[in-house]
Amino acid sequence: MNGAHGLFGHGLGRRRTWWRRLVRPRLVLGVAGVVALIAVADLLGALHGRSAGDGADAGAASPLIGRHAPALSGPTVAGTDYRWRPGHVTVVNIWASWCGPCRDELPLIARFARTSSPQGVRVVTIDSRDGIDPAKEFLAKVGARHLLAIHDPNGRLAVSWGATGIPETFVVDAHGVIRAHRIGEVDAAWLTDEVGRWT
Amino acid sequence: MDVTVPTGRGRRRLRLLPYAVGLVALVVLVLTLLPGMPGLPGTGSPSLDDRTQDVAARLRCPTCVGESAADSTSPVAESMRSEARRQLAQGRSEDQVVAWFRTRYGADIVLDPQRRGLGWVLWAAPPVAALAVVGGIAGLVVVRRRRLAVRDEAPDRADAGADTGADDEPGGGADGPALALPAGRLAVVVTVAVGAAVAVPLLVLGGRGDDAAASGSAAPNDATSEATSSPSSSPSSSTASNTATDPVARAFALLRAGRPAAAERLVRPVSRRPGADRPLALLVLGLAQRAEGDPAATATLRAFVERYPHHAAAAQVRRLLAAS
Amino acid sequence: MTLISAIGLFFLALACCASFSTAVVAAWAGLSGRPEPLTRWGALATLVGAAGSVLTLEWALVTHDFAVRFVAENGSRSTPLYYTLTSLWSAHDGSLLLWCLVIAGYLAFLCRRMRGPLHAWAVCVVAAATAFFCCLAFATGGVFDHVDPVLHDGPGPTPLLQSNPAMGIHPPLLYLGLVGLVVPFAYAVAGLVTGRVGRDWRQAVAGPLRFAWVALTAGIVLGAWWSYAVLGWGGYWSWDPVENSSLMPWLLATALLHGLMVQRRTGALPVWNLSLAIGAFLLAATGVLLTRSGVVASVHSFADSGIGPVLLGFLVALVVGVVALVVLRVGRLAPPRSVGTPASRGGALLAGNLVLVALCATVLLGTVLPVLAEAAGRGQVSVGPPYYDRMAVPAVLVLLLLMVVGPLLRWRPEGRDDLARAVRRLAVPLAVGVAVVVVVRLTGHGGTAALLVFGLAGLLVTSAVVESVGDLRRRPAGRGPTSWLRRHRRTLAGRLAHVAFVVVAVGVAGSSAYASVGEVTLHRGRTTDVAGVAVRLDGVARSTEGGVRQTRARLDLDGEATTAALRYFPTHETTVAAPAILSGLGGDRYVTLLAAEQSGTTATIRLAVNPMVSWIWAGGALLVLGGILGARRPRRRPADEPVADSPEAPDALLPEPAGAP
Repeated sequence: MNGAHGLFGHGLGRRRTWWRRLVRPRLVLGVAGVVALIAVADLLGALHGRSAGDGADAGAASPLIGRHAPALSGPTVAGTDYRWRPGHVTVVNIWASWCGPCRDELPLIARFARTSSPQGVRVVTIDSRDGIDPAKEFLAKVGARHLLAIHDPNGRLAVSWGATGIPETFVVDAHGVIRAHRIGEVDAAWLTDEVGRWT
Repeated sequence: MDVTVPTGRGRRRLRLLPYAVGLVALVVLVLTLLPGMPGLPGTGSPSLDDRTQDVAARLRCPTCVGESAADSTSPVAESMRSEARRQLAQGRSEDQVVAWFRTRYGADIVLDPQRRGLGWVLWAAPPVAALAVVGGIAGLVVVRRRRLAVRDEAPDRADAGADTGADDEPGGGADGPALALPAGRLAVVVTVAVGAAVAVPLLVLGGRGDDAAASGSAAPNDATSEATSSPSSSPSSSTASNTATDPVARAFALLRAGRPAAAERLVRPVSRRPGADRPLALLVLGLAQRAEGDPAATATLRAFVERYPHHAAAAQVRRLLAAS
Repeated sequence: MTLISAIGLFFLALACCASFSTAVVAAWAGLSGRPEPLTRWGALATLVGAAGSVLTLEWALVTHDFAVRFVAENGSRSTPLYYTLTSLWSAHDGSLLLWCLVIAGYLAFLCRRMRGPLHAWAVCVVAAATAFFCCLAFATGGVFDHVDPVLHDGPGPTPLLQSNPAMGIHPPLLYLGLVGLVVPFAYAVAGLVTGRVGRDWRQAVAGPLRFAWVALTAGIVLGAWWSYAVLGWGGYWSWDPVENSSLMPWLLATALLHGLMVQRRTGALPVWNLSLAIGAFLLAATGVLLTRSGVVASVHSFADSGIGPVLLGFLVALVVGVVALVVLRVGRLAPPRSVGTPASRGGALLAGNLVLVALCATVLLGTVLPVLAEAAGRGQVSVGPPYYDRMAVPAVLVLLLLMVVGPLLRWRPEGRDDLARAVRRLAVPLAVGVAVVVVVRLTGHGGTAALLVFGLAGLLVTSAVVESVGDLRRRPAGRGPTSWLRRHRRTLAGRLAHVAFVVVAVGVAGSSAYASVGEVTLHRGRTTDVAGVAVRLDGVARSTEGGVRQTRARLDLDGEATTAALRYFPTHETTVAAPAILSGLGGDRYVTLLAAEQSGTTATIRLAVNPMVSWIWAGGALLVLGGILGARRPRRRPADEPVADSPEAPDALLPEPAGAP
């Protein structure tokens, strides 16, 4: 019956139905062009809005900020067991003995732990992807022997905090909500600012 | 409509044979493909290793370029695999584990976009488009058949004669036959769609390039921490694309490789002109001079600290200056 | 400025001027309708200029002339000669020069003969594109800039690019393929301008398209192989944006190859084919933008630079210009012709075309949407392998099915008997296909998608063999097999290409469904079982060669000795894993060294057993072979296809565009 006639072939009436009149190339192209222009304008607008707004700390925003801190417990480098509970503003720092910047950062953290403990600030560190012996050696070398360091040999604890690298630092408020996150080394000013804001 | 019956029963049976074979084949195929068919050697429930691998394949390695946590050898990917394995061993489902990672690292850790918001566009657009095309073609075929049927019933209609003649010849009337529409016009629409899809992101990105260059608040910090971290014992993830083109990064590499003179030469021009990488350039220049024992080092480093007191490396440099 | 810089700049300037004037002359030829022999000289001068600048840079690299900026940034005295030569394309500005050379080569090729306005306009488009890229290289590259003070040594090319010899051929082949798509694109534009999209157009496009397709296929397969052998993660394809941007033009080029077949036999789809030609080059250019501008992060984007906005402008101009042309011309191009019924060869080819375009659009969506979403501040979306796999698998299954059915259908089927005939010819292959599925399933292997691919593979390969044997038997008496082979070369090449595609699909299905991976810390002398392989660490050796620190672990896998290494490049601060790969027809054992203890007593490795990976490389080689064999023999007679057979209207009969007298 339909034989060799084409799928898109000829042989039909020439009546112009309403939809054929509608789907004319120029019309289609025009509509597509207008839609594309609107999309461009919309996207450019959105882009402009964003860059005008807070572009400053967009880069380091952790999805954990504003959420309750994950569990923080385990054996410490010193050999005891530790379980953290909310109730104090807490600085959580992740480090390892093989990490270069930590060599400069950890003494700072240790000093901060000493000076801020009278104000009720806790400092808990996570020694991530590291052996116990190099970690102890490292702590002794940088003069931070008394720093509380949870041993996290395969980095699971760091991962549960959403850490991507080393060093990283979090500030948790007294209610156990994560308030600040920093990828890379911190300096004393940052620590004082962020901790001061939540005490 | 019906198949004409050929002569003889034997011939007819022979004709139907392939269909019978096809049918049997289809049944066997469906039976084999059904998971968990009794009597077949089961592939068993997947092992913990396999499930860990599956979960990791759905997660992006946060420190790598274009690698999944399953493929990457970076430390964080290793830790992610280890954690995924622990959770799966505890009896959590793969989706639960993926969701756990999503709360920790944000939505873009998941390589498998969520069916929500923009992700919804991704998942829905291709099948919807495919259905639309298939439906459209089927509709055209049906319409065409119906019209042909109508035309067959009324063969003396005025335009019928002209049309049957047109079947084997190029060129119909001035405005083209009805069913010729899709191939030509569809092509136009596809071209426009591809063009728009190409042009829109590009237009947007044109503005973005400057943004990225100008902002530079987060990026240089990362660069410093990356550059200052020791590569000696940690398996370093690939930073090839940075060092390949960025003179400052390369200078830093030279500095680390113990060639401060070369580093200094490379970085000096950058440290003079304003730009996002100027602080880092200044820093590298200072450190290179220091390594060479150049007395200008102190001045350069001091200039760096004074100009960029909030730079991530500023504290370290201050300590360095204080020590010397 | 040193002499060598001056020479390089001179050649580059020559290429710029020559290509620009070629474009002008060709446009004049197109307008006047007279052939202009001057274009030939212009194209030749362009080629000389582009080749001269590339050779100058290579000379500077080889002689370690560190006064030249590119050499200072990418050269090194310790790099071997081969990688010194290939370091031309290890950074953006050098690869742009290579790009210019390739496109100038195509321009010169096109200008061999002058044949009417269609050709003249195509030359004009290619020359304009050449001029654009040459000027881009001249204005923004600064390859030949003088460096002061002159260093004694440089850092050398990116480590990943000096780890595998495939790097010497992969980028040039890929460029040959991507840039080659400019020829179909140019003819598409010329077709729009002149209104000639019939037989002349198709014949002009077919050859260059096939050449570009072969190069692109080879380039993509080699790229996958490089990724497998160098990156050390055990995979060959990660749906990375740069990989996608070479895959998308390939998909459209493949669609166009098949679309041209339909056009040859039925005269249908000229506008569709024209659009495919345009889309393929636009996507190739987008790919360059993605690779060169640093818009997307990728393992392959070694070259990011500030030329993004310029390329962007070029692309936007292209899109706007082409769309305007299409709008103006599409109504007057060609009268629509019939493809055939849905159950005809043409219908199957068109369906395949639609699937390829749909797949391409999906990949484009997945590649572009995350960038868009982030740019628009609508949150970050990652689109990775799970998404692409789920989208591509059904498309590939449909393609395989069409590859089975399509060749059995006639161009003009006569009623249902034809369909029944096709079904009957499928009986044996179908039985084989089902048998394959059942056997694989009975040996305990699961995975619906993989099983379906295996089944379809069995079906297709058997069908191809059955058809070929049938053709051979039915050959007229008195014809020997050789003359039969010669006569059916292109049909057989098509079958070979389909079989090759199936081999690749089987390799991909097998390696992704049945791979197993294990990570373990080995102790020297002790044998451990990882992923079903007995592994023993025989020792760890450290050495420094040519400024590269190497850590090698000598391993013993099931009795076979091999070495996996980590290579640390201090100048780039980059560690590159050199995995050990023991290949076999059944599968590869793939070992990556993750870490080794200083003392050499332990080493951590990752061992993957990747079944059937070598099938992918074999299939890729066959695919390229099929593409080459399917080429039309260089024309001896003026018209090698009898016009009477061809349903295509000769171009002269087409209605002239607007206002022709």
